[in-house]
Amino acid sequence: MRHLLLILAVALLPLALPAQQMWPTTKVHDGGPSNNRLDIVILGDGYTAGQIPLFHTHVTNFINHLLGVTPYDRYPNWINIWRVDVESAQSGADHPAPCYSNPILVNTALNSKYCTGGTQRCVTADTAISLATAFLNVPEYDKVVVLVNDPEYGGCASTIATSTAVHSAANEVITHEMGHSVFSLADEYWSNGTTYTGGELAQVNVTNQDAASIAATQTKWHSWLGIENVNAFEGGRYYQFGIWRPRNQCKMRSLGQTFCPVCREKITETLWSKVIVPDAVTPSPPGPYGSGGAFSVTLPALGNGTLVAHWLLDGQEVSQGTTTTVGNQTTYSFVPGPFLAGSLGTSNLDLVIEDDTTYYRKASPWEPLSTLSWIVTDAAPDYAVQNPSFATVPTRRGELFTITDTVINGGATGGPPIRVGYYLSTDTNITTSDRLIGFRTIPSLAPGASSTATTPCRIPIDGLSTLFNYHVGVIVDDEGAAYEQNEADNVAEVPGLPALDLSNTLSPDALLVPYGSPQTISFVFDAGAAHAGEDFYIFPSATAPGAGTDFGVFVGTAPFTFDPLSFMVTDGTLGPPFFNGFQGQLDASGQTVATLFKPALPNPGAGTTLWFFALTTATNPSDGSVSVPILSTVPILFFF
Amino acid sequence: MSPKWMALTLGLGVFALLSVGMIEKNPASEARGATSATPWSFEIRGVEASPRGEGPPLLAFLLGVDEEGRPSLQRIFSARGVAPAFEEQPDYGRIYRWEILSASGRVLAEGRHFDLLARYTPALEGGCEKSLLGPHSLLLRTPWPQGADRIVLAIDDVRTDRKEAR
Repeated sequence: MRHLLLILAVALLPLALPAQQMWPTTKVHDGGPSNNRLDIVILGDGYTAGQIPLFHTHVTNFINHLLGVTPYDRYPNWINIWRVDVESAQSGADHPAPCYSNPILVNTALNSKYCTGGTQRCVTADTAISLATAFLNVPEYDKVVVLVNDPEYGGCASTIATSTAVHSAANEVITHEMGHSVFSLADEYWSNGTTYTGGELAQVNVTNQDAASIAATQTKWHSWLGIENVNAFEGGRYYQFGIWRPRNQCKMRSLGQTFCPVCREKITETLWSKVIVPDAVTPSPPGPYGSGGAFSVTLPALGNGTLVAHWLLDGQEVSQGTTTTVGNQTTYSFVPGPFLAGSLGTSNLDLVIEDDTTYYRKASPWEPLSTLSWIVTDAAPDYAVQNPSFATVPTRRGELFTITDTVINGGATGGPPIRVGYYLSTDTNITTSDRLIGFRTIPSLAPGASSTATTPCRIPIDGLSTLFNYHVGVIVDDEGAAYEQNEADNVAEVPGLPALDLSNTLSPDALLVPYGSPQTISFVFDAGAAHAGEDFYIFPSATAPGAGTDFGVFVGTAPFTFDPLSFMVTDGTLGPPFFNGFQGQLDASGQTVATLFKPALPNPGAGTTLWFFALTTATNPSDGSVSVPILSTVPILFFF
Repeated sequence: MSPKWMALTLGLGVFALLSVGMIEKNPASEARGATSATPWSFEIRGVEASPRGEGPPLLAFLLGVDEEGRPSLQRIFSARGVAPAFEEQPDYGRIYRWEILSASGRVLAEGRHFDLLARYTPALEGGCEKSLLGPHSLLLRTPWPQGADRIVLAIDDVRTDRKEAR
């Protein structure tokens, strides 16, 4: 009983998590992947459950406002905005003494209150609760904004920015405060009669120099002098004298104004700094790669204006390539192939991305990554698949069959070892997004050489539907190991696949597992595609002498080892990634010892975590598993 | 679902809970030292897991900082995600240097965190008042290396423009 209590106590531990800090969370503005964007989390406070729709309206209003402000309007996809629907027991925020003679205290999730530090309009949410809530709901947040459902004007910004969402000036206030907390901009207003006598200031939009000194020393906003009304106006950062600001008016001085060019440049620079790498680069530099494929870079899409792509071959611009915008991303592509044909050799291909904005007067806001370089060559392999056919034709779910095909290298050089993948598709467009059902590997093929083989494949047991007419295809170099002169001849359908029998009766050869002393089941996992959460329910089954025995595997979501004899789950020794071969042995008495061991297989994709559960028990047909005779040892392919 | 698979599923669930329970529930804070030259060391125990986020495991340390700038560990969270790059703001603040250590004292990871200590109170007509924070909180995020046992913090730098803040 003590053990049971211990287990129950341990089991209840996760329930002790602060459930009130997990809330419905929505990416209300999707600029792109969070690890390559500025992620702003908006929490609501003082919104009751019935007022969550009002919170949604406030958030929408703020986003519409922010993304209409220059330069956010040009770079909307440099930002993600998340909404966390925090519910409070009561509306509003605390209005405590000493600022209020009749204090009002309300129960809200983030404990927002006016009068922070004795200043009535300084409304703040509890920083610790807000940060915890932000992290637990959006772990990759960069900045936190709390909107308070209270009509009284107020705001405050430090680690987090808090503002009333109800007041008509709220959106402008938050935009201004983000100038501080996100972009390190100084206030540009002052108190009369004050004089600054200190040294140079760190913020970009204030200085202790007048215009002549800025020009002479080539510091601060010297490159903006005389442009867009930029000069040096005395007064800023709380001092009337001794500090200068770039333009007479700016959002960092007064609400309702635009950002001055210097602040606008700083925001632009910071937003670009969040896009630390392209969202995608294909292929990975430097190569060498054959000239027949497309070279491309994917970046967030601009809200207005253009990024210009300059493609240079050995230093000479040859094209601006093609530009394709899909959703929040733009891909810049170029296929150098035709003009290299017939002149075997290598060249340097450079891509220079230029943001032609007038918001930035330095070299490039994206300077560290503005140039990408590849080596391209016509001395490349060119694999092609020829005459694929079924050596044995599958007819049903789970059935083992074979495909015969020939791969020839028609290119000018040999290439790296490649894999030939066999795929089951729901249409005639065979791609690596289809389901891998088998593969073979080919060592480097010399120019003109070929490889012919017959390869075992298996129709999957799970995930098939009678709604589809299935097709089987071959893809040469499906892992993209070689960059070829021509990538268009790598795919071919295997003709003649009949309509599959998808009834629940398993193929007689579908569940063969090794048997003997000792033997190994080899599980080969698809390294190319992750299907986290997909049901996995293949139960290799065997009948051992003297006792029927199921030999099963089960996918869970945590690493562990399992002793099937004692039914004890013990500490996992696996570290991520959790991809394992699975070794099993059935002995003559029908007992089974299962061991999970460290992976020797590649990671199938970021974010995929697979834990395995091994089990042997006496056969129980009622669970849907099937006992079949052991015939031979075959590899079994699993897909995730 | 058959009794066997119900038992299997239950066993898996219990194991998942056990794996959480293996993380000890120790007192969260064990601050040592009182000067910026002395590091503070906190055991990584009682981690509260969030199911949100994508990417590698991430640790978050919620710290309270008192009037003297001494940190105390309030809570430790985990989720998946990429820790933000270090960003120092040109304003009054504090920089924490941190190291994640194994039980044997080996440094598994290290980094820095900037903590803004200025507070802006916006005025309706524009601009705002700047003041300095007293006791406050911060959240430090870091990748979660395997074998992490404790985090050691040191205040690496305190900016000195306090007198310019108002």
